[in-house]
Amino acid sequence: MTLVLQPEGGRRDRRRNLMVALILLVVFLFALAVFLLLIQGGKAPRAGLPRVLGDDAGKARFDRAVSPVSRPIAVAVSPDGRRMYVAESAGAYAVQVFETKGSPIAAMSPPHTTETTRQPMGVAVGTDGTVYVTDRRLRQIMMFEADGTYRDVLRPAGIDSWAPLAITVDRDGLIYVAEALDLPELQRHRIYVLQPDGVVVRQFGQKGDASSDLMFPSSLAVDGLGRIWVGDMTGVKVFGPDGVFKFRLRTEGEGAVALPGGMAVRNNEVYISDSINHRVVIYDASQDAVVPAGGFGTLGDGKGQFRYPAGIAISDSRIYIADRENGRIDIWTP
Amino acid sequence: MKRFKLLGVIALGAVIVGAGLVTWATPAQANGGPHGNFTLTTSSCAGCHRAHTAIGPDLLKSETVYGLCTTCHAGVAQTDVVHGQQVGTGKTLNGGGFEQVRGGAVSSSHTVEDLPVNGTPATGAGTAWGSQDGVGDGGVGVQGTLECTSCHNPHGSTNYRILRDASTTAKWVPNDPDLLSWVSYQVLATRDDAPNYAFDVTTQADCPVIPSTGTTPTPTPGPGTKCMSRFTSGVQSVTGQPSIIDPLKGMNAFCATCHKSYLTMSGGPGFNSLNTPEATVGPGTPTRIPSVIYPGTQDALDGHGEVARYRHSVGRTKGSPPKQPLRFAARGNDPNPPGTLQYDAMGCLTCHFAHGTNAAATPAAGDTIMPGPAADSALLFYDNRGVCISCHQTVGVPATVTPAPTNTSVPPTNTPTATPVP
Repeated sequence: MTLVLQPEGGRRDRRRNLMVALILLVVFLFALAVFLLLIQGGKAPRAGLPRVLGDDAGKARFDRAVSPVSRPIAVAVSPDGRRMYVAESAGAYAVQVFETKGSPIAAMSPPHTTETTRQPMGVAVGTDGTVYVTDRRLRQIMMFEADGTYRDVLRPAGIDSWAPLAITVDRDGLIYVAEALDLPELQRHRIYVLQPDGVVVRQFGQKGDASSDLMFPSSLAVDGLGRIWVGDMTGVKVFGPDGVFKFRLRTEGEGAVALPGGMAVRNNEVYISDSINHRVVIYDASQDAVVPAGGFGTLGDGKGQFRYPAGIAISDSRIYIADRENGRIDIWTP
Repeated sequence: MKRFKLLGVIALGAVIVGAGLVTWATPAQANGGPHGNFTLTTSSCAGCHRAHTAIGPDLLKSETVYGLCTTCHAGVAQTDVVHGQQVGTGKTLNGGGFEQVRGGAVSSSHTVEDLPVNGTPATGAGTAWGSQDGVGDGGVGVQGTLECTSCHNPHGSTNYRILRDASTTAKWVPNDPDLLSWVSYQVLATRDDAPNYAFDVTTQADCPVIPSTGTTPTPTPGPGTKCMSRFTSGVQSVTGQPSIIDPLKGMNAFCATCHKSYLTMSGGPGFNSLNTPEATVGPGTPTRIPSVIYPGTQDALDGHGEVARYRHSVGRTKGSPPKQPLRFAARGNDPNPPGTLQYDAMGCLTCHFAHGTNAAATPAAGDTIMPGPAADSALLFYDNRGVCISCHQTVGVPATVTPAPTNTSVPPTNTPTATPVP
């Protein structure tokens, strides 16, 4: 027995030693990972810019710029990708219509208004080509035909007074509107989901400091899972299709978004312009857990650079970014 | 097995510690509004700053202050300083706008750094309007680069518009301990401040001691180093009640921290402000010249020599009350003697916007005497010099002016109500 057991005991010892080595290896690797995370958290790849995975190369390529436009704040593209609508926050304070190749077509503005009585802040295009424009001074959503002809005002059924700011339309034609109204007697920081006829499907959100609260929501997107991405002064918050808060994005480190200026969805990716970090950050939103998926852009006025990027729109083959202080629309190829 | 258990415990501990470290190392997130309400464990700093990856001065995430501020304050947040209106009501902001106000483009503004002026971003560099010769009480206007943060403290202050508090290190506040203290009080004063800060002193012995900053002490009558009234910009006193100091009046001192020529001490008839307190008034015993702001012949310190000339009083009025309510006036009773005279004291903001105005400046044809000032709307509230007529009404009909100061900018088509949203 002893002669038989001795080799078995030796195998057990070797097995034990192997297990010990494996466990120590796992512990070592984990500690190494923690160490690397800590090191990377405090280091930027380039001076002055937060670290973003997939930095620049590989995620998008600068194509061209369309200018001049006066301090563009929002941009939208027609469903066929042939027209681009740009909301100006200076100059004529109009929505300029371009061919996406860059030729100007028209300027849209509500009737009986001037550059000092209107202030377009958001623009979106419906599945039927209707152009929706939120106006901060008129406190309305105006509807235009695709050629720029004014049609009517869109107002939520049962709501007489509101202050819409951001707007987007999902693939089913539902209209999402962010309202930011902050008067002493009335504070509304909320999201509306509307049918094209104005019927309110859903509304949610309130002002506050909690992660699920909103603070001047100013950009919107709906991802492929129906989740509603809301950008406000405190970052980006994601809500389920039912309006229930899911999570918020980080404001530092990988995939950081400090102050979202606009958001748009392409396939399963959400593109977010970070106004004060002067770049676009991308998130993979194909799963329940979203992960940073790169980004592009740097501070400056050259090709591939931004100064306070704001609204963003995406067609099948192009990314359109309202480059606010450079006074142009930057067009990138994914 | 014991070894396995031990290793398991170690591994588990390492995982927990590692996870804790990762969690601990997660950078702060910007919760809530950025202007105050900070706690020791606040995470709001990340809204505007980066400790290691800033791209602007003061660890800002933005290259310029104006660009950072107007990312929110140009239509997103309720206070739209670019267009000079309150979002939601369309009311004109008290400070006006940097690019538009009251439905028109600005004709003059405080040109902060990066403000587009004729299509070109302003440098913000310059000297505050005022004396250039640098003598006397006033001195050279403050030089530097004007930014939003020159006047506002984005981290909050006790002023409702987060105007900066005085500081010995602040570049836009003169480093004069007495003046700093006073300016601080002027800006910070609230209804709860009991002391009445107006002292129409005629002798050095009555000069109160300047209160120190950081608290709200009552100034003690006695031989103070300076008479506060030299720098007084207004006071509000109600007989039988605790004195009320309207924070609005503090704007005068606040403005004068840069436009220093207005810090001149008033003089008596025939004496300019450069006369020392020991100056002799007429034959006989030396008497200190009444050191009050109104009215008096004062040295304008405007580069034309030390010539006594009249200057419009601020902070207090004397004689009959104005013929119309004054914008941003300090109202109350004259404190010395208490309650004897009602006044409605004008201040800088009675005539001027702080950010910018759209008032017209159209000098008459052939006006070559002072073409510069006459062609400058100078942040004034009304067209040309309508601010004079609006108060004094020295003509038969009211002056033609730009739209009224409040509730006028753009009539909102969508009046807000407190009706709850269904």
